[in-house]
Amino acid sequence: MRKDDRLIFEKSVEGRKGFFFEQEEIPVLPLEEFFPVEWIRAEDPELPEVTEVEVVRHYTNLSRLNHSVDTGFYPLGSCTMKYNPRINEKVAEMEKFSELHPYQHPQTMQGALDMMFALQRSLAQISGMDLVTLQPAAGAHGEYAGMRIIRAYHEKNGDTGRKKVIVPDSAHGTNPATAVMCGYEVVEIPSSERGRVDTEALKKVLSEEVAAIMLTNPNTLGLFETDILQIAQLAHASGALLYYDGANMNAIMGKIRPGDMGFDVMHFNLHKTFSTPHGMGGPGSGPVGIKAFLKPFLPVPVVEEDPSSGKVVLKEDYPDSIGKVRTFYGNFNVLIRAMAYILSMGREGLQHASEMAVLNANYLRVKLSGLLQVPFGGSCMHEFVADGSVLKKEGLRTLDLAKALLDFGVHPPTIYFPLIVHEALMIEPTETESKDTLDAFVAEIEKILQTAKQNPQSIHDAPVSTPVRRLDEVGATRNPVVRYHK
Amino acid sequence: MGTRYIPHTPAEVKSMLHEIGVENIEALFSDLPSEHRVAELQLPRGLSEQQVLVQMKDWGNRNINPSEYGFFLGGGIYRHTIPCAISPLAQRGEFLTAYTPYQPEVSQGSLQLFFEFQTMVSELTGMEVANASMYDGGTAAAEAMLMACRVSRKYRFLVSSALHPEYIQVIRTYAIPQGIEIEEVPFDVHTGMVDIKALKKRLDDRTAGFLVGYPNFFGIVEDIRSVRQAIGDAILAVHVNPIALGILEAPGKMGADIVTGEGQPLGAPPYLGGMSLGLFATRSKYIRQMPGRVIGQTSDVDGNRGYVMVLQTREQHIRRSKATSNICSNHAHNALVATIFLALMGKAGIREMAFRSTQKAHYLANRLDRMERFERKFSGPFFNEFVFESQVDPVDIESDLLSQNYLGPLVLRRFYADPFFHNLGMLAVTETNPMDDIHFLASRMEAMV
Repeated sequence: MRKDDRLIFEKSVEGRKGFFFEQEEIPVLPLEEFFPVEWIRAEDPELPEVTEVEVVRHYTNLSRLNHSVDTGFYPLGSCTMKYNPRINEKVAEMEKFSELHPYQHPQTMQGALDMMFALQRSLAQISGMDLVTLQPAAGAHGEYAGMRIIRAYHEKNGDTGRKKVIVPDSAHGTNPATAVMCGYEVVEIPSSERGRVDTEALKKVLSEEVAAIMLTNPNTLGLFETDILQIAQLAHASGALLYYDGANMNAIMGKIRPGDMGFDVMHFNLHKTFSTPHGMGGPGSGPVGIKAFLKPFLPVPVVEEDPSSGKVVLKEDYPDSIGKVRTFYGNFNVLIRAMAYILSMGREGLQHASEMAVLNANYLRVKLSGLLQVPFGGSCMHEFVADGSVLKKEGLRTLDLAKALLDFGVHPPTIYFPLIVHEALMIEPTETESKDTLDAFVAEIEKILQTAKQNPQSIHDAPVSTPVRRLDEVGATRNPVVRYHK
Repeated sequence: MGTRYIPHTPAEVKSMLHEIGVENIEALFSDLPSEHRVAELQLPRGLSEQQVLVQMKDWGNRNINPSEYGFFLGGGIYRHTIPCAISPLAQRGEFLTAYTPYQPEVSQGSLQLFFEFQTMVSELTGMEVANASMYDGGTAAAEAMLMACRVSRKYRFLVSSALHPEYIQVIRTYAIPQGIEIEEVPFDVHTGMVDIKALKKRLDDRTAGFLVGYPNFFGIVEDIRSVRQAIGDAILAVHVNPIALGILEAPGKMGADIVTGEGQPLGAPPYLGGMSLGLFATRSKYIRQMPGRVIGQTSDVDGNRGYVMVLQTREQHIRRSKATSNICSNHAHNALVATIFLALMGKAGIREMAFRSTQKAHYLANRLDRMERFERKFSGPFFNEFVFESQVDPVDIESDLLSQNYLGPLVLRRFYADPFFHNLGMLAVTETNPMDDIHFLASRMEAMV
C-alpha cells in the first residue's frame, strides 16, 4: 500500500512557487491596454502551488509505482517491449536537434533533413518498400495515412466503387477502426483452423468492391501467413491493394521483406521494432512505406533529394497528395532514436534481433506448452498465443493468472487478445531477454498453476504486493471521475 | 557484431534450440517462402556507441544551434522556459519504458499523472473533462471536427481561415473520407479576427460546428463570446495556445463545447515541431463521444484510491470498427512533460509567462509600428505574436537577421498564394527573449532599406 497517495494538487500550499523568473526590466503596460477587460482571465486556473523539491519527490515516487522494461520482464504481446538503449536518449537530447524550429530556413537544418532521408532509406531497405514518409505520429496514424494513400490511388484511377476493406478476425483493433475512419466498410474474414487467413473465405469476399486487404504477417497469433504469395496474387488480380500492419516486424528483419511478399503499403512502429521508448503509451512513430507507383499520393511535405542540387529538401508540390495527416514533419525526437538504433545494430544486428526474438518465443512456447494450452501448434514467430482455459476447473481465468504474475514482478502478457482465442495470453518475450529470465517466467507460471490447484482463492485475491490491488474498473466507467476538484 | 543488447551466448542458443527440438535457427523460419528470402540487408554493419555519436554529431553540425540565436519564430511552435527539473524526472526509466497502463495495479504512476494532466488541462481551458492527450494540435483539431459531426449528426463544418494553415490541411484530410464538407470563414482583413457577419451567413441547419483559433494563426485573440453568440446551437470548438490561457479568459467560461490545443509550449523544446502534444477537452455531457484515452478515479478491493482507464468501450481495441477514433498510442510522455511543467509553474508561473510574453511582444510591435517601413497589419488584440506589413521583402529581413544569428520573421507567403500576404511577416516573442535581443532586432530592422 502507498504511504502517501496525495495528488499534486493536494500538496499545494497557497503562495509556494516551483519556479522563479529573472529580475528583468520590462516595459510594462496594464493588460487592459491590450485586451478588453472582460477578455482577461477572471480566475487563475487551479494549478498546484508547490516547490521544486516537492515536484521532484512527487513524480519520482509516482514513477516507482510503474512496471517498466527498465525494472522487469514485460512480455506484452504485440507491443515488442524490448530494451531501449540509452544511447538513443543521449542523441535525442542534442541541442542541435531539439532546439530546431520547424519553420527555420531549410539551409539551417540540413543535417536534420539528411538524417530523416537516411532513416527513410534505411526503413525502405529493411522493408523492401520503395519510399517512406516519416510523418505519421503512431502506428494507428500510419495505418490511417497508408489507407488514405490507397483510397487516393483508387480514386485517381476512377475506381470509385471500392467501398470495402477486408480484415482478418485476428487483426489489431486499429485496423478496422482505421478502415472506417478512411470511409470504408469492414469485411471481417475468419481464420482457418491453422490460425491463418482462410484463402477460400478470402476468395468469396474479394470483388471489385474491395479496396484493400489489411494484414499483419506474422499475424497476431504469431504465425506466419504461409499463403501470403497467393493472397497477394488474389488481391492484385481483383484490383485491391495489400496493406501490411508493421506491428509484428520484429519477427522478420533481414529474413523476409513485406515489399518482396507483395505488400503495396505498410507502416512501421518505431516504438516497437526500432527500440524507441514506449513512454507510457506514446509518442510512438508510424512511418509509412509504399511502392513507387503510390508516390504521387504521399503526405506533404515529402523529404526527398532534389535531383539538381543533390540536397535533401522538403517538397510540397504534390498535387495528388493526401494532404497532411499532422503538423510539421513527424515525431522527430522518436525518429532520431530509431536512427541511432539502426546504426547501432546494422544489417547483421537487425537480423540477429529477429532471430533471437523468434528463438525466445519458440523456447517459451515449448516450455509453456506443458503447462498451458497452445491452440495453434507448430513453430511460431516472435510471439505466440496460449490459452488459460486450464484454470477454469479451479474457477479461475486468464485474468487471474495475469494478476498473479504481478506479484512476481512480471508484467503479464497481453490478455484476451486476439479475440478468436477465448482465454488468450499473447506472449512476446523479445530478443533482449535472456534465457534466465525466460526460465524464471516459466517457473513462475508453474508456481501459479500449482497454487491455483491448492488454494485458488489466493490467486483470485492476487495481486497483494502491488501499490494497489484489483481496482473497480466497472464502477469507474459507470460514474467517471476524470479530474480532481478542490 | 552490433548485438550489444542481445544476451544470448552461443551455448545458450544451442541449448534452447535443443529444447525446441530443431537443428538450427533457420528451421524456425521454414514457413517463409524461400523464393523471397533476404540474403542480406543492404545496410552498413553495426556501429559502436562512439561511432553512432560521431554520425549523429555530424548530422547535428549541419544544423545551426538555435539556442545560440535570437529566437523570434512562432507559428504554432514556441520557445518557452523549460525548468531544469523536468528532464531528469521525465527521463526516469519507469516513465520512459512503461507502456499503456493495461495493468493498472502496476501502472499507478502513469495513471495518476495522466489524471493530474487531465485536471490541469480542464483547469486551463475551463472545461469539465479532458483526455490523456492526442498526437498534436492539428490532429486534435481534426478530431474535434469529427466529434462535432458525430455529436450533431451533421456533415458540414466551418473553420476560420485565420486558423493555422497546417491545421486546416489536417482537418481537410480527415474530413474527406467521411464526406464532411469543410468551409472556411474569412477573417476581417483589418482586425485579423473572424468575420462574424460572414460566419453567420455560412451557418445553416446542416452545419455541425465552427472551429476558431485562440489566439489565431496571426496571433490575434478572437472574441469568443461574440462567436458563441453568432453560431447559435452549433458546436463551438476553440483551439488554444495553452500559455495564453495564463492571462486570457478560459474558452470554457465563454461557451466553448470543445477545446483543443498544441501543448508543445508546456515544457517541450521546439524539436522541429516533433515533440507535439494534442490537448483535447470538452463538456462532460460529451465524454462518451470524446476520442482517446481517459483516466478515471476508482478504488481497489481494500478501498484504496487508485486510477484506471475508463470508457474503453469508445476505443478501437474493444469497439474495433465502431470506435470513436482509431487512436491507440497517444503522446503520453509529452503529457508527462507538460504535467511536470505545470506543477512547477503553478498558477503564478503560467500567468507570469503569459504576462511577460505579451508585454515583450507588444513592446516590439510598438517599436516596429513607429518605423516608416513597417506597420502592424491587424488591429485586433494580440497575444505574443503579430503580423506586420513591410516595405522590405520579408525574405530579405529573414536573411539579414539570420546573418546576425536571429531567427525570424516567419514569412507568411510560404503558406498563402494570395497577394494579400506577399509582404507580410510575423514575429513571435516569449518570456525567453531577453530585452537586449528585442532591442537589437528592432534597431536592425529600423536600419533596413
